[in-house]
Amino acid sequence: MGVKQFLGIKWINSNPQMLFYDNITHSIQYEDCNRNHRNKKDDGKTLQRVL
Amino acid sequence: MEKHCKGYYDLIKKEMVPCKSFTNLTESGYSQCKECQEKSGFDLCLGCNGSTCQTNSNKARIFCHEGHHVYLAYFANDKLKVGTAASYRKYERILEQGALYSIFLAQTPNGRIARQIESQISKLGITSRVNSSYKMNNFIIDREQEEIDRMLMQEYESILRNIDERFKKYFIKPEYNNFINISDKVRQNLLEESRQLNLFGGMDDPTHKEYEKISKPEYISGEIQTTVGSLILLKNENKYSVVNMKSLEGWMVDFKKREIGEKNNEVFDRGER
Ligand SMILES: [Zn+2]
Ligand SMILES: [Zn+2]
Repeated sequence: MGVKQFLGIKWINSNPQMLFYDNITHSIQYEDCNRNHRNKKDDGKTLQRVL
Repeated sequence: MEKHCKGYYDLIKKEMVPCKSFTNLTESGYSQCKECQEKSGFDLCLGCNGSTCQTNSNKARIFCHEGHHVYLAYFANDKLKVGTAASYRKYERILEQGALYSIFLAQTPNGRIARQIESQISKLGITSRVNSSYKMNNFIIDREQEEIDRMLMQEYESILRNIDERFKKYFIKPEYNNFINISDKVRQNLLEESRQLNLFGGMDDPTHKEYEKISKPEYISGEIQTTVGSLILLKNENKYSVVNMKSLEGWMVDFKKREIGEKNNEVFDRGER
């Protein structure tokens, strides 16, 4: 991917993404950092409501 | 390698805005330039307790007029934290904090009232800040979900008994959230089931595996097992490390990705300084 600026991890729709900024093309690239969860049946969050 | 201003997150447009001047911050302890800090609009909102609004930013004012929630979060080793979140992004908010178990306990028409409630609750002895070194050192949650739920519920009741009368109308039936799939992933990796019978005929409690704590990563590699807030759990051969990715923000990195099954996985290189 080459040298890019790391902007941080952002949680987008309950999935963590690593953001990289390319200073030459002025674009932001997203890399999934929860790949392991993707293959699972219940991806993302489990919300429970009690009471 | 160099560090540049990371820009800012526009909470209204919900997007990351890169820094216009790409300010070099290699020698600085910050990851954001003054201009971007101001543009984010929230530099004067840090530490706000809702008594008087300090901000001169329209963006912050718009955001503050959105509906908010007050939450109570559970962190490992029984640390409870109170916090606020704009309602439209309340799940993202607790996820970016790495709060895997929490309840939303109050709903307010704006951020100011939410901040006032937060500040009252923190006066009752519940912290409003858990730093990343605590989160790194207390990465594994041992308690069962039911125990955590009970603890949160008890605290909710105690808060409700002790909070100012004028805030009670904002309290809601607590809404539980947990991200068990994330805490399970941590436990699957870092807990070692004991195979030994103890004196009383039962199994010993599972023991924690060693993991390295990397608060200022320079070169890291491994397979990402899971992400908790801004911390990632990396596995390399049979070694684990928890990495604080927040301290990499702004740095120029060489990120190499390899598919699972190949010899190595993600590699981060901040290189020589
Ligand atoms: Zn900037
Ligand atoms: Zn304010």
